[in-house]
Amino acid sequence: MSRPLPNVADREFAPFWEGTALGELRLVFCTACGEVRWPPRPICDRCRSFELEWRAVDPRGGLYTWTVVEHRTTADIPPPYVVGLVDIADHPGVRLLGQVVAEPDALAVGMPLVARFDRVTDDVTLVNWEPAPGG
Amino acid sequence: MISGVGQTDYTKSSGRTDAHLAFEAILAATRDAGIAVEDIDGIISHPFSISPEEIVSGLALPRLQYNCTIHMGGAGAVASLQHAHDALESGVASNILIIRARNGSSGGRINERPSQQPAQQFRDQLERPYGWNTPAQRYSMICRRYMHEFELTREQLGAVAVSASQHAQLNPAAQNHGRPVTMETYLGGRVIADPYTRFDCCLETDGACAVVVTAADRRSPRRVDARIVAVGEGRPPSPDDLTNRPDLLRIGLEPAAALAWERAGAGPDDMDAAMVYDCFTFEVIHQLEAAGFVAEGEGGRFCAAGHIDLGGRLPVNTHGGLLAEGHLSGLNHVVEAVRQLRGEAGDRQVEGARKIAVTGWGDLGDGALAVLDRMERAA
Repeated sequence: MSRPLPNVADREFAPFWEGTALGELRLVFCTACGEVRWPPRPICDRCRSFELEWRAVDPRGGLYTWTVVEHRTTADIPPPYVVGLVDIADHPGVRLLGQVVAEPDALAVGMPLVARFDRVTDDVTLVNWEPAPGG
Repeated sequence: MISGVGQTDYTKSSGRTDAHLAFEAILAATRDAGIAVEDIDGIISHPFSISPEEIVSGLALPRLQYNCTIHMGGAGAVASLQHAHDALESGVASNILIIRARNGSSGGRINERPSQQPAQQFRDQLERPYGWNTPAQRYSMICRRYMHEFELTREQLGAVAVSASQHAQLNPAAQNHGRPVTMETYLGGRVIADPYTRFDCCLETDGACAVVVTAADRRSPRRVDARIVAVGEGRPPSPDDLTNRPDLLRIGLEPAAALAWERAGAGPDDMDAAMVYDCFTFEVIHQLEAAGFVAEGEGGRFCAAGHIDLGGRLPVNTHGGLLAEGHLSGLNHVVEAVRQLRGEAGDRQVEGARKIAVTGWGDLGDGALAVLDRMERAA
């Protein structure tokens, strides 16, 4: 067993992974009402439109909460590691989950983070987070 | 009314299949209800568990005429009481079975079992690749957020674990009977997913329990039974996704409890005890607040003050709960409430228990609350 990887060819997520491979953080927006839609669902929960588009956004955010995993449950991801929920700065209401590359003692709610695009295989680039410079 | 309850032994290794355990618990519950096994004509099923077809076949049930499956994870046991009650009222069935059976310990550790969460695509795409895939890892983030917004100490979390353990010492059927957890043991627990340590996490259990629900005007072998007064169920915002919920502390139990209290014409202060879905220590504190037993932010102090202990203001999980009796997906909480209301709880009996609330928590924050009361018949 090796570490779980996303299916980058997934019908609804492929543009996300195409973006991460280019160092871009992309989110889904409703073309009818303009609202950001995350995670991607086939219908806009605000205006019920099925029309959507992917757009690159500023890959910065703030830490909402986190856990430090010390008991191993995932093959090829040895503990300890930090998993955090990150509020995307320019898009309130959108959060991404990822590993936070920082000392656990340094973590605090609201700390500014910037995305890092970590290529883990030829096909997959994951989005993790690290403290923003000067943050 | 809940006319019958039954269970197997709760262990780390049953040596029997899930179905074998299920049949043992069903026989015990029908015996307790004073009905023939053949009289079961309705089953409320749990997803990813023994199917109604297997139960019909194993017991040669002649007339199963009602079945539904509740998709609320651990909240399903309590929510099932609503569906059972409604099915009886409509006359579609007369004796309805609710069953939980699992080899939750010997059948594979929780991270090795197939996930039962909704919206697997989000889990596969956005969560598992980062090493986030177990209930402890998910819900620890809720606890961490609460610690940012309110007061919560290790000792307050420990009070929940120690209380559950002390209750389990009075329950010979508990998986952790004879294995007490003290505050010292609790504080020495190794970290699983910070802030959760070993003793913040519920047990993994092999076993089964079953409940039979019957119309309240039916014959009963007892003079005293537990009645379903009211049930409410609810879901948090984005129930298929925890990570984008605007406020991680808002859970389905809030609207569920509001509904149940309104329907019951009763409130938290009227309860003599509460059985709270304790998958993790903080979830007891969280749900006591969400159900209105204590104000938001006060739950930790409430538990540390001993109010949840037997003899306290609101005894909680007198059987030991998922933390110390066993993980039967919360149906064991219903079983315990019934025994308390009947006055059959032995050394852990809550004196004069007349009304008890039972909560459920499941999937990514679904919730349910049932109010049960003691129903006495003229001698």
